[in-house]
Amino acid sequence: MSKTDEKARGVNRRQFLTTTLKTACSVGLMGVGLGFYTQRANALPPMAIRPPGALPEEDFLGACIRCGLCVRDCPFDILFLGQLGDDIPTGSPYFIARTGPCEMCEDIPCVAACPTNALDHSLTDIEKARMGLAVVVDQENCIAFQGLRCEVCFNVCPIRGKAITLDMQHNVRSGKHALFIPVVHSDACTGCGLCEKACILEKAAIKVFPTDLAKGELGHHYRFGWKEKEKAGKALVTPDVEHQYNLPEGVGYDLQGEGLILDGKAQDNAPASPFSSNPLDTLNRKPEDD
Amino acid sequence: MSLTRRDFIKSNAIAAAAATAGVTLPATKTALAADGDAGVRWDKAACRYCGTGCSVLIGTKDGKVVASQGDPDAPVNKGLNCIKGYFLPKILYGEDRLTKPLLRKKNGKYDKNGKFEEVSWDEAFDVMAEKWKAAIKKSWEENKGKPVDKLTSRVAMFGSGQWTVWEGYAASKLMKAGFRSNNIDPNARHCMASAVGAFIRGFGIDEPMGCYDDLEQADVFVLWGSNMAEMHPILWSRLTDTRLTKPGCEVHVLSTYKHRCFELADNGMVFTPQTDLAILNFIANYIIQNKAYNKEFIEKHVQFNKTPTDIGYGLRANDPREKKAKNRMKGKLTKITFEEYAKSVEPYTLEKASKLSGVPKDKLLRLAKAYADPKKKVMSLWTMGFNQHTRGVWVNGLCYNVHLLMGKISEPGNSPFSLTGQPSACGTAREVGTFCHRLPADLVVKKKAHRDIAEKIWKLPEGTIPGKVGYHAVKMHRMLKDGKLDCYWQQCNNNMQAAANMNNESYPGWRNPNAFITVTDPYPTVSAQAADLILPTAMWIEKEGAYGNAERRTQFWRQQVRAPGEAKSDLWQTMEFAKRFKMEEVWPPELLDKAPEYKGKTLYEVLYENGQVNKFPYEGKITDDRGNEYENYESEHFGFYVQKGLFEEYASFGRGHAHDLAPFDMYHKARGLRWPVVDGKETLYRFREGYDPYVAKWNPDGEKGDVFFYGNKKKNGGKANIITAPYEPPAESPDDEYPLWLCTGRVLEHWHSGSMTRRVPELYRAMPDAVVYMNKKDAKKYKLRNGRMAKISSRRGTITCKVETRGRNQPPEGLVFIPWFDAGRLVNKLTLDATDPLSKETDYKKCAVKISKA
Amino acid sequence: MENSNTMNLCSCIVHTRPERGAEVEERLNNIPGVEVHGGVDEGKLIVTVEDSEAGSAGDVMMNFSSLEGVVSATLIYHYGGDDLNEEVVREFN
Repeated sequence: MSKTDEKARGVNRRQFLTTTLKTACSVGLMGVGLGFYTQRANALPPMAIRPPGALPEEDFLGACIRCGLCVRDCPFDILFLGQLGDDIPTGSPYFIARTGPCEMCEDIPCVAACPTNALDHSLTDIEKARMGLAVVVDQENCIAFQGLRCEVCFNVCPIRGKAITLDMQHNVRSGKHALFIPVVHSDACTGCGLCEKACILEKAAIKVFPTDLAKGELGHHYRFGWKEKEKAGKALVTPDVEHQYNLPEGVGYDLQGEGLILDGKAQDNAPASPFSSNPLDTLNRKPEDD
Repeated sequence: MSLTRRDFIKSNAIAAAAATAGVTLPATKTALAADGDAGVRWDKAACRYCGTGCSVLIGTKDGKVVASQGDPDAPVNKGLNCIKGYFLPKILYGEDRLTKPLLRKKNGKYDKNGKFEEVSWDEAFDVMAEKWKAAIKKSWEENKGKPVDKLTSRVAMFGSGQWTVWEGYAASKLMKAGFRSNNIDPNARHCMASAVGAFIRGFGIDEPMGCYDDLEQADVFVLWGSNMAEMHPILWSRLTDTRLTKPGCEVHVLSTYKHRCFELADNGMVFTPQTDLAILNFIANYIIQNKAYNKEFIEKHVQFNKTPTDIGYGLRANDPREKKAKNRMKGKLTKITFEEYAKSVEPYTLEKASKLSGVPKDKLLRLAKAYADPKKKVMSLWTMGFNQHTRGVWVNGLCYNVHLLMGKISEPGNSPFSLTGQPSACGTAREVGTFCHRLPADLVVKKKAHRDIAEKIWKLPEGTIPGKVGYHAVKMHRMLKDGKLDCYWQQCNNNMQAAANMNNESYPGWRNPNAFITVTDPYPTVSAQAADLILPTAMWIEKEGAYGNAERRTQFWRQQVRAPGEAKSDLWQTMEFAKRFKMEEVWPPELLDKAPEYKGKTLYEVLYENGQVNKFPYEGKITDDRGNEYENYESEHFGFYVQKGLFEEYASFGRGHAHDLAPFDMYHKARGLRWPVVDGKETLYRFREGYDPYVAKWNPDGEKGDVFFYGNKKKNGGKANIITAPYEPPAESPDDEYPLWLCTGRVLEHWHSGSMTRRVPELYRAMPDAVVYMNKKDAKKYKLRNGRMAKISSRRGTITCKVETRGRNQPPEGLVFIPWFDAGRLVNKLTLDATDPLSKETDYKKCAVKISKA
Repeated sequence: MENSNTMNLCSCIVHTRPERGAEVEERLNNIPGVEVHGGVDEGKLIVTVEDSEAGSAGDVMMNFSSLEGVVSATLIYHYGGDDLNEEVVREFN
């Protein structure tokens, strides 16, 4: 389907809603059941994502003169302008990731086109754009969490291996397969929405939201110890002393590793017995070989 | 469940009114109540796609597949699916399914240059049979006075590793016995032929000795030219789990570009195309230099050999590269000593291997040490990187050499494992023997004794089956173009999109005015577009089927739903077409005189109503152990249990000969069984006493747990062959004019030519069109931009596609990768039809291209 | 398929005395395009009206208040569109 078709369809959907509204209002009988249609959000709806380089929403709305030049210069025709009746301030640009994500042009023509810096001209590396943040919103329906081999979001991600990584885990249920869990990293995700578009579910399990909506915030008092240690390049306080233990012969202890080692294997790589664990190795050998 | 906007709006309207009034309505009136799974019939089936052989459960209701799930009881996948498997039911319901035969016509008559018009099955087969009869007559004239091992034929069939077992068997019988043409070859020629060649040369019997349990048993995994992460997704999931949970487990990945498997690799190696030959010889040399080899194993179980070198590239004979070759297409083995073998690999030092391959020395050394360590169990895995190789048989063999030197074979965890691409490359193409040189159960047409066996089972007079090897896949196209082949029938694949050098060989061959091309397909593929007659077919679970996966596991399924319109299965088409021929029209009088009882009969009667195939009655329905009932269209039509009869006759080839298949009915109960199935017991590891009952049978004096390579019991007393072979350059390498390597392959989301998966909207959205994966530096060098179109040309053609520099495949500088699933960007216009001269398998991984802005 | 440019579909609440709900339901169900979905016992009938040969949904609804046993009729929801027969939910197709 061409982009113009999609745009036309969008208008139809709006017409549908406004027709519904108009009639109901003219009769003047707003039932409870209709209430939800009339609610007009003041904030940007979560599925509408601003183009790359957009200033924080309030500043952006102040700076954007609704000229539409970014829309005109988008080579992939993904940008829309808010229209009367939309929940989006009229004339301001946005895109919908599920139907038309940002293709992340290296030369960022939309930003170049912006006459007012509402799309920040200091953005020159598209990978630094932060249009929003992808979030795996539904772990119950995302088939990767069940161990199915999908990973389409990972595959289409243009910030390859950085914005989305796969966390490989043991699949306890099957006992012999792995799970390939997609994890989004906010330090790399541009919010382009390619992952949301490509998600193969009926409704995407990974969605792009405006960043402030998507991100949690750690308690201001708290630090992750291992991250701080990595940042500092050393332990923040004096490391632990070397420990000695009372242990029976043949038993070792690996403090940083697996703990108590009963077969003594960790200390030296010598085999525990002269025989291979596979009896066939032994059976295949003739006495004179030994 | 189908809802119109009216239903939807109405439901909202009712809900709004009810909410206002505070009235509670019965649930069905307001909510769009989900049907739930009430009334859904569940049954098992093997996945339609790759060689992994996952099992799925199919939910049908009112004659339609409404649901599916991974089969939790299947040992291969335990309820999991890859993304293609997740959408399996949707492949049946593409909007452009073919439902009527279509024939090119002008003025109401067949015309090679006419437009496709709907015709009846009668008209379709009338026209087709007329063409085939004329071609057979012409063959008779050409064959006059020739002995049986010199016979040629002008009719051919191109089949598939996606055929069900009985479809392949019925087709093979029709061609080899009925039409007396060995011109039948499967698309497995493009896929597994090199692997087969190496199995037969090395072990005298086809298919892996190990099984998928090695994925849990091995300590070290080495991937040679296999992107399992995308092509065998569920097996990769098992391998990954072992890597994650087994202490000391390590994964080595070798490829000509970085792909998804490198994410898990402990030792990832990108090597210069073709230099896998050198790397493997280096490993063998390293093992010998360090005296790490298993001396006793070698003495008892290995025979050393050399193979002729400088054998050409399987191109047409007039190609300068062929004229230059000293031993064109030769492969006869000569026995050598261990010392001679050691000397032959001696030049492959670490320095040389590293220099040739571009892989750092420490990485090569780490790899060699993993193989050479007697304590580590190694599983080597490979797919098209080895097989689609102008030295494919050699390179498969070089990997066996390494395993055999160490004795790391035929036991849990020590496993050289050739993965298959297709769901039944093993089960159908290889085991049934639908190749131009094969018969069922590893018999070959060249040997009279083998033909005798087939003729006896098939109740044919001596000398029916021709002894000359027929045209293989690539040769068929050349013969069509040269006017030596008149009729060509393609079933269950898409060769016009697959076969290399489309512009100069395949297309002119198919469109040769003398040729009559029939394509059996469920969808209008690139092949269908180039055909003269298109026959609509039943897919997958629209018929009863059987597939055999890469670990020798045979799996069955029942017909779940009817095919749409007038679409009929490949099996029905093959058998029904046989009815169109009287024996007098296909066998010359001197042959028919040897079987006078066949005079006046049809080919169908002789081949399929022979008292064996039609032995099992059909009760009007198939009932499972839970009392569910299923249709079986072919049995209904022909009046006997067709699939059972074909299977049992076919199975009689291999029973008692180490190819034992279980009784037919057992497979409808089990989640697949790994052959040989002897006394109801499956075989996990072949050639080792204790695991494989045939070892004790054929090597009764052997020790307990000992190895015996019984495939070679007559040839060399049951030893495996180590075959030395050197590095030789590929057929075409980059030069000043065409400076880049082109490698082709698949992606996770799409199956082969995409004729099914590109009709699943979600998969199409996930991976819409083929892109050219390339290195950022190359993109810059050729003034290309990520996401913009580029023109890629070889000496044979040009295509355009989008540039992808940050994609899942990360080629090194100097190499580009283009997947072949996209009918809109036919990468086979670029590829070279060079083949392995021994296996005749095309090398789709190496040719030279240039690239520029489109 | 019927597919005039603007199909109308309305829902409304028809108030009756609770004891007369059943007879009004019957009367309403006899009008083409009208369907009663519930609320009979409560005297608040949930009714949908579609355009039909008896007239536009609006005309039909205007006449509800003149029906015997009807106390009042209140429009709650109106949809006017041209794509009522378009499929919106499909499985595996």
